Amino acid sequence: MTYIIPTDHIELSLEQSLDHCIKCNICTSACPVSAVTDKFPGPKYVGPQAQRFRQPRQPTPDESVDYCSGCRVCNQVCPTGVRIAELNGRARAKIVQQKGLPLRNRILGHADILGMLGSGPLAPLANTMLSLAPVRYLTEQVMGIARHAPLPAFSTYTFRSWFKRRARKQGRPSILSNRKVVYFHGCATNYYEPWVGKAAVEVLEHNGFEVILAEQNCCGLPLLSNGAFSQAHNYHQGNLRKLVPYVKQGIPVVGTSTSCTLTLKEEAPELLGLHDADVNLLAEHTYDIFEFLRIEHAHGRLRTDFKPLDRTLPYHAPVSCGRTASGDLRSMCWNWCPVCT
Amino acid sequence: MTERAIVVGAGLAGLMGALALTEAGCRPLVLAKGLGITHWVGGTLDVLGTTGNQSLRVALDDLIANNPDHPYAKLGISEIEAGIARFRAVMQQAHYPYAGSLERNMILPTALGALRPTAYAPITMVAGDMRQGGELLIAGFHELRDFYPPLAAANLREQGVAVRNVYLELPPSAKRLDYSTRTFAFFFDDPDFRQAIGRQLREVRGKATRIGLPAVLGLRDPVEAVADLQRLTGAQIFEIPTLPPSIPGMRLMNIFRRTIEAAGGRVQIGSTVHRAGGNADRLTHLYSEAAAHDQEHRVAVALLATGGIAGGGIGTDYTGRVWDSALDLPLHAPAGREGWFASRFLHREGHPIFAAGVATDDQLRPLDSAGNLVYENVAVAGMALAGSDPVQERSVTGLTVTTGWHAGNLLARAMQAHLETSN
Repeated sequence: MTYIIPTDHIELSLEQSLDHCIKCNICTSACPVSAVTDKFPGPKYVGPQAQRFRQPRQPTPDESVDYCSGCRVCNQVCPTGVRIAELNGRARAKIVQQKGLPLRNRILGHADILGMLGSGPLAPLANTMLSLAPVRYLTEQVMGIARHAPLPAFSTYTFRSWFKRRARKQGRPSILSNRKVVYFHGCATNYYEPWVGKAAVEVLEHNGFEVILAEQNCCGLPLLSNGAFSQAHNYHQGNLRKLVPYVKQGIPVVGTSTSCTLTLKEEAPELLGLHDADVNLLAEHTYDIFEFLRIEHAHGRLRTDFKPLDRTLPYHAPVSCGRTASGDLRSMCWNWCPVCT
Repeated sequence: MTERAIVVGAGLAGLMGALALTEAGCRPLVLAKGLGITHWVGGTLDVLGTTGNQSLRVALDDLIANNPDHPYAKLGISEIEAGIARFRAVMQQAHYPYAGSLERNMILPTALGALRPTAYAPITMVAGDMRQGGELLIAGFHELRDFYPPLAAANLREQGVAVRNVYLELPPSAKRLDYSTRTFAFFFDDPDFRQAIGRQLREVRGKATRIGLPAVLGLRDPVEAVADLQRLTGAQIFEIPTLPPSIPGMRLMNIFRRTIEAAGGRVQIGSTVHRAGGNADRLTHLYSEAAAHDQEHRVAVALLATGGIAGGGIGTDYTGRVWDSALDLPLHAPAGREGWFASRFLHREGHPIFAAGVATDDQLRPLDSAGNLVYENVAVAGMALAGSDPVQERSVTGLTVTTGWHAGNLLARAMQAHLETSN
């Protein structure tokens, strides 16, 4: 399955952005991957530098680009606006086209299928299995997943099942409102951390929104970041089919996973070269929840009846946060949220 | 939506401006396209590149008297001193003190062995002052590209400096596939690594009383690293700035960011301001770029500190157009491409285009070509200002730090006045 990346304005702007690289290595000094492994020589080398040698119908010059985690810190810190992460993303897709997708990436790329298999009543069994040393040894040998790498635990119930059960119990949506949002939960919330989704629903309903649980599929980011563009394209088409009808009724899509919302807004359209009206419509009407609440606040509509929480909580800003929601959680609610200062 | 103090640009001008706003209780939001000047500059505070016996203060007085449109003239000597004093106090508090004065410039060696005048330098660099005598040793590592002790030493020798050079061996535990300035800064953060390097330096030191090393002596506590190496070698140790990414610059960024955010400000990198909205005399909105939709900011006051042509604040194209990339303010620039350049590439007077920038009134507020105020709640600082060519004057960091501080204070007062009238 070959996905032909179109020779579009994005490809052109990526090529042009090479000339903006002044080789200052700010990206390399900020890169979290090159900080911890020698195998990744840094964004400047595998991005704007190696790109000069990537020519049509020629073998890829440098496979170390596969170590790029796609976190986009390089884009964020670049003083001259080189689109390093997109260069890397498309370069990896070309490697996958030439050499195929390794088994490990094939499996890890399908967060949705993994989640479906592992979550639910059998989750304790799956979690126990995956914590056994011999099992981890085997998965390392066969699939190349490091045996000491922590794996997320499957949830005993999915977010969707909780939401549907709740609706059945109540016999009606908890709130009927003409202010509606479609909640994009993503795979992590549905299969691993349903409490994130429950909290999001509570906050949105508290602010008078009717939360709609629309059909949706994986945003496709795990496949995109592994260079499996044709499968990622199918996923994005699926989400367009399922979500655009809501957007056309004026209902925005709100997500709690910053990497999912960033994929819907920008990663899928830009990496895959999709620019039709539906793609743009979904991109423009998708919001990270904190971005969404910040805009609500800007219009004086956010309920700010917060209760003080006398706890110090650790916070690790998700890597896609800066791009999808402008800044991390702290800058998002800074100035109006008394809870986190 | 809350009206806010917005600083556009996270170079030294923006960060000093944000510091002033923070200290006045204005909780500024700093928006920047990326990391910039801090990671490019050597980390010294160059006020004016005079050499010889003339006092820097006298030279500044002369400059101010003869160039009323120069940004320094708009500040005056006491504001220049106030900005420098605040900068030094912040660095002192972060255990990274700066030494120097407005009397005579220090003369510090560059990585190429050129001599560079500067008024203030981090304490880790001052032992490199060439006004002191004694034999020098320049030491480096084969693994650190773009720092060649033999080249630096050869150029210094030609200028009459007694200097030797040496390459040091990395201990086996420090072997990597590739190295950057950051790799070395991590190494020097480790006391064991300093031990290993210090012992080697003591063996090769000879008669040298001062040893110059690339400016990679740690990000965590470089002052302690220098003290360690001095104890181990018995010589004075000094850092020589490298090519980017500059470790001394990263220290500055870390200190500023910590100080501003601890006091309630925010620094948001990766948010290019590319659109502005306002009415007759006030800037009301700024828009920064993000995925799919811009982030909207309501503006109480704003500081434009986006830099000049090198910093990306001023855009140019082949048709001869020159523009301010953030607020689209009118620029003061030579008309037409033919007026941009001097006849030779390395012309003594520099190229006229590099003096391009926003013309301002005495309070650093932007003016149009007819001399009318564009926005009363905006100030301009640093390389975005018209009226000087700081690269030519060797005043880049001094001018950005002092104008940033001054503009930040003016804006803080404007913001307080604005909030009082609107309440």
